[in-house]
Amino acid sequence: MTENFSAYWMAFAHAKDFSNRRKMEFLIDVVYERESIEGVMKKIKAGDRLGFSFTEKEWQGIMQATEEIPNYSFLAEKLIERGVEIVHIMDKYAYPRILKENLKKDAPITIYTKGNADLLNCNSVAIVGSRNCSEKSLRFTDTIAKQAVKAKTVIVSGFAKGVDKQALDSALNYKGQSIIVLPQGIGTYEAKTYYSALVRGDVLVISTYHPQAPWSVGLAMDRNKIIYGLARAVYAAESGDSGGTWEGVLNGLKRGLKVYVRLASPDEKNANNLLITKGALPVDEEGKVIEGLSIAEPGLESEAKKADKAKQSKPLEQDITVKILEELRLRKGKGITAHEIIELLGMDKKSTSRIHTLLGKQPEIIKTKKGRENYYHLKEALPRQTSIF
Amino acid sequence: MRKEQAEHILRAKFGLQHFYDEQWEAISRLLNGERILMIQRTGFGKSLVFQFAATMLYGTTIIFSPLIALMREQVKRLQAINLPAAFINSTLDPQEKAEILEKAGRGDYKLLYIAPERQEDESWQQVVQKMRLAMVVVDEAHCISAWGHDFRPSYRRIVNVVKQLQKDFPVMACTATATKRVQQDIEVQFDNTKLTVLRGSLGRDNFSLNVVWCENQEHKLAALLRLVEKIEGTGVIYCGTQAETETVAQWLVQNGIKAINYNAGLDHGSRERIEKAFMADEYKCVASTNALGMGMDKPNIRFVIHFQVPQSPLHYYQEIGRAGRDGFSTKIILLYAPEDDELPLAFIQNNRPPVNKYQEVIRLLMDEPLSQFGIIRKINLKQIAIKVILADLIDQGIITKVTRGSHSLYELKFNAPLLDTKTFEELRVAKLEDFNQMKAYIDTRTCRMNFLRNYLGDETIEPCGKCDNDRNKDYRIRANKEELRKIEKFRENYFPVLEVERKDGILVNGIAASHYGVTQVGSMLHHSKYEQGGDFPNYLLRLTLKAFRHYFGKKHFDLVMYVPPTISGDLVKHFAEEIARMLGFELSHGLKKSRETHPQKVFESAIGKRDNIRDAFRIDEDVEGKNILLVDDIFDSGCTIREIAAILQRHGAELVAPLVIAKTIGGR
Repeated sequence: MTENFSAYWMAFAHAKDFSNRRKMEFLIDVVYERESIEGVMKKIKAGDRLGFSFTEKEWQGIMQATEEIPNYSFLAEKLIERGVEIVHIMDKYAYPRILKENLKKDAPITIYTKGNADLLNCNSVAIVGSRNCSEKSLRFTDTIAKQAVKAKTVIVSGFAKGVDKQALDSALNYKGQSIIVLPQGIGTYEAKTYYSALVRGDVLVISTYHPQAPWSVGLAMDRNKIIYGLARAVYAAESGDSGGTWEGVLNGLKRGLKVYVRLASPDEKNANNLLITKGALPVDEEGKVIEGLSIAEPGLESEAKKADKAKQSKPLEQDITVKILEELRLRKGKGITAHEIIELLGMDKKSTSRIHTLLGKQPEIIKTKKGRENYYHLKEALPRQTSIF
Repeated sequence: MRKEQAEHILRAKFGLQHFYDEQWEAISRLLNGERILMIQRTGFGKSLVFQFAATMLYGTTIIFSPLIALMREQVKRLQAINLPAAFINSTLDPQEKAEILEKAGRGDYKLLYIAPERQEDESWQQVVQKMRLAMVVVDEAHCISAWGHDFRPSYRRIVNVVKQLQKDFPVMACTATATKRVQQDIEVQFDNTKLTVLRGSLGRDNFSLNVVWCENQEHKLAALLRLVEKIEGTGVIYCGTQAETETVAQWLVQNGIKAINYNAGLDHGSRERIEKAFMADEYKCVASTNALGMGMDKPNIRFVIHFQVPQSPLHYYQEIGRAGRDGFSTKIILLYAPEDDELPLAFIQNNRPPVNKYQEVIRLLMDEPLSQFGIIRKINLKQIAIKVILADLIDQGIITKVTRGSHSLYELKFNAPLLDTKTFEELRVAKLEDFNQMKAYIDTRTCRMNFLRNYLGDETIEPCGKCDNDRNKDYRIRANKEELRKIEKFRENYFPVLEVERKDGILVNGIAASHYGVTQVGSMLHHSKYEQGGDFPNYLLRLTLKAFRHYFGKKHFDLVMYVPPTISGDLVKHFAEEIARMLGFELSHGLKKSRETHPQKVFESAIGKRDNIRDAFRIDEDVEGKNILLVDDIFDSGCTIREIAAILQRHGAELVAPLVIAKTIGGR
C-alpha cells in the first residue's frame, strides 16, 4: 500500500492558482530535507507562510488545498482500491528519476500509475506521430517497436489513435513492454483491451493530471511533455506542421533530447522533413540514422516547402525559419540581428517584432544580447549516434 | 469549550441535562481533532457523543453504519430536534438518493449516515469530493475485525480512508461488542495514528443470564413453550436456520402464542412490516435468525431465548445486547442440547470455500476483468461462497474491484501476492477456540455476566447476583409425555410455506409437505429418485394432500400442471396424476421442456440455476384465465417455479400456486 500522505500530496499537487514550477520552488525552498508535507500543510493551515514568497492567489490556492485533504483522502482511497499507485516527487525510490532529470521544474508533483511500475526504470524510447497517418508511418512504428523489444527497451506512447496505438500494439505483439501516458486523469481510464498485458506486467499506465480530469485537447498536448520526459530517445513516425507531434518534437529538441524523425519521401504530405531542418535526426524506414544529410539539399528543402503548401498553414513563418537556419549554418556560430534578417530576406521593415517572436519559438536558436542589439545564434550541433539500441 | 457551556447547548438543542464524564471526555477529544475508539455497552449514549460534536464542528460529519434500521431511527430523531441529517443506503429509491446527494454536496447536512458499501458508489464518490467534511464516525467498528463476530469486508475501505485522513482530523470509532483482541485489531488497522481507547464497563445490570439444559430438539420445543408462556413482555427467540425460525414460530402459534418468524429469506417489505409490528408490541415474540436485532431500537425487549447455541460468546453478547435497553429486568435464556454443537461447528469448518476455488477465480481473472455474476457463471459455486472468495482476495491485495456507475468488475492486480491460506487456518482455529469458550460459558458454575465481561476484556470481579449460577440454580427441562405427544402431532401437521409471492406476478405462496432432511420424507424422495425405488410412496402422497388441504382448504384449481423432469423419469408426472385425481382437478401435460436442462441441484448459485432453466419451457395448453396448481417434488431456490410462472403469466394464466413434497432448508 502506498504510504499515508497521498492525500496531502494530492491536495498540494492540484492546488489551484499555483503553477507546477512555483510548487517545485516551494518544495525545494521549504519542504526538501526540512519538513514533511504533513507538517508543512499543518503550518500553512495555521496561517504560516514559511518564509516563501507566495503571491496572494497562490496563498489562497494552497490554503484551500489544506481544507481539501479529507476529500482527497476519499479520492486516494478509491484510487488505491483500484490498484492505482500515487507517487510524489519527493519519493526517492518510486518517482521515476528520468522524469525529474528530463523535466526538472516541470516534472509533475504527483504521478498516478497502474501496472508494472518497474517499467519506469527501464531503458525507454518513445514513438510519436499523428492520429491520422500513412501506412508507411505505421510500418515504421512497427519496425522501431520490434527493434526496441529486441533491445529490451520499453516503448512509451500516448494512447491515441494512429502511431500511438500502433506503438503499443506492436510492443505487445513482439512480447515487449510499454508505458501508456494518458491524456486524462487515471480515474477516468478503463483498462479493457490491455487488461491482461497490464496484469502480466507488460504495461504501465501513467497519468500526471487530477485523477478525475476528463480527456481534453489541452491535456493531450501537455501529455507530450511527459512522453518526452519518460523517454531516453524519441522516434517520430509522422508529423504535421502543427499539433501535438509537431509541438512535441520541437519541445523535445529545445530540451536537448535526441529526436529521430523518419525521412519522408518526396510524395509524402507531411512535415517530417521540416522537423529535420529544425534539428531532428533523419532516420530511414529501418530507423537507421542517415548520415551526412545536408539540410540545404534542394530535394529536401523543396519537400519541406511542398508539405508546407499542402497544409496551407503558416507557410511564410516556416519559409522564413528555414532560410534563417540556412543562413545561420553558413555563418558558423556567428549571430544575426533581426534587422539583418529583414534586409537579407527583403521583408517589411516593421517586421522586427514578428521575427523576434518567431525565432523565440525555435528550439535550435538561442538569443544573446550585445549592447542594445539582440543576436540570434544556432545552438551547437547535437552529437549524432547511429542507434540508441 | 468548557463542559458547562456544552451542557448549556445540550439542554437547548438536545433537551438533555448532563453528559456522563465518559461522554464529555470523548466529545472534548473529538473537538480537539483527536481520534478515539469508544467501547461502551448498548444504550450508554455513544451516538450522543458524535451527534453533539458534529453540531460543534464546521462542515458535515459522515457516519458509516451498517444498520439500516438504526440510521432511519437516528435521522428521524435528529430531524425532530431540527438538526439537518439524512441517510444514504440501499432502501432509498434513485430519486431520493439523488436529492440527498445533491443536498449533501451543497453542505445542507450536519450529519450524514451512510452504509459502508456505498463507498463503492460512484455518485457518492463524486459528492464526497465536494463536501466540506468535519468528522468521520465509524459505527459498529468491530465490523473492521475478522476476529470479531460480524466482520464486514466493506469496512476495509473505511479503514483505508481513515488511514489517508490528516492526523488532526477528528475520527470516532465506536462499538458495544469488542474483545481486547478485536480492540487491538482496530488499533492496528488505524495504523500510525494515536487512537485513544475509551473503554467502559460492558456489564448489563438488568440482565438475568440463564442456561437451560435439554435432552434434544423435542425437549427444547417443550421448554421453549413453557418459558414463553411464563415470561411477561415481548422477546426474541434466536434460531440456527431459516427453517428453524419457521418451525419454532409455527409451534408457538399453534399453541396460541402470537409469534412470527423473521429471517434474511424474507423480502424487504415483510421484514419491515414485522419489525414495525414487533416495535408496537403486536407480537409476543419473533423467532429469528441473527438477521434481526441489529439496529432495532426496541427498548422493552423483556427476554431473549436462544433455541440454538451461538458460535461464540461475542455473538451471544451481541445477540442479547439489544434486549432490556430500558433498564428493566430482562431474562436471557440459552436452551442447550448437546446435539446443537453440530451447527456452529459446521459453520466454522465450512467457513470458507475450498482453496482450489480461490485459485480458479484468480486464473479466470488473468484473462479479463469480470463481474461477480460473470464469475459465478464460470465457476459453479453459491453466490455467498463467491462473495467470500472475492472479499478474501481483495483483502489479500490480489484483486481489486473497479466500479463504474452501477457496474463493478473484479481485476487481478499486477504483481499480486500469492494466496495466503495460513490466515484462513488461523481464523478457523480461532473460531473453534471461540466456540469452546461458548461451551465454557454453558458449563461454567461461576457468574455468567462476569464470564462474558471477562471474555470481552472488562476487568470485573463483582458477581451480578442475577444469573442462575449466582442464584444457585441449575435448570434442566424435560418434556412430559403429554408435551411429547403434542410435539409429535405438531411435526406431522407442520407444513413449510413456500414464500414465492412477488408484488406484480401471478405466483402466490404455496406449501410443502415437509422440510427436506428433517423427517423421513427426504430419504423416501431420495430412494425413489436416485435409487430406482419406483413411484413416490403413498405416504408422501397422503402427506402432500394433507399439506394442500391445510394450506389451501377447499380452494379450487382449474388445472394441475407439473414440472417436466430432467432425469427422474415420470415420478413427478405420476405423482401429479395422483394429486389431480384425489383432488378432483383437471390434469394437464401441457408444460413441456423446450430444450435440455441440467438438474437444478448441480448449480450452486441462483444465477446458475436461472441460466439453466431460462426459456427452457413451453406451454401446450390453453391456460387463459386459469388457476393453476403447479406440482413438483423438491423446492430449493424457487427459480424453476418462478420461471414457469412467468411463462404461464405470458400465456394469460390467472394464478399459479406451487405444491411440493419437500422444501430444502435455507441457511441463516
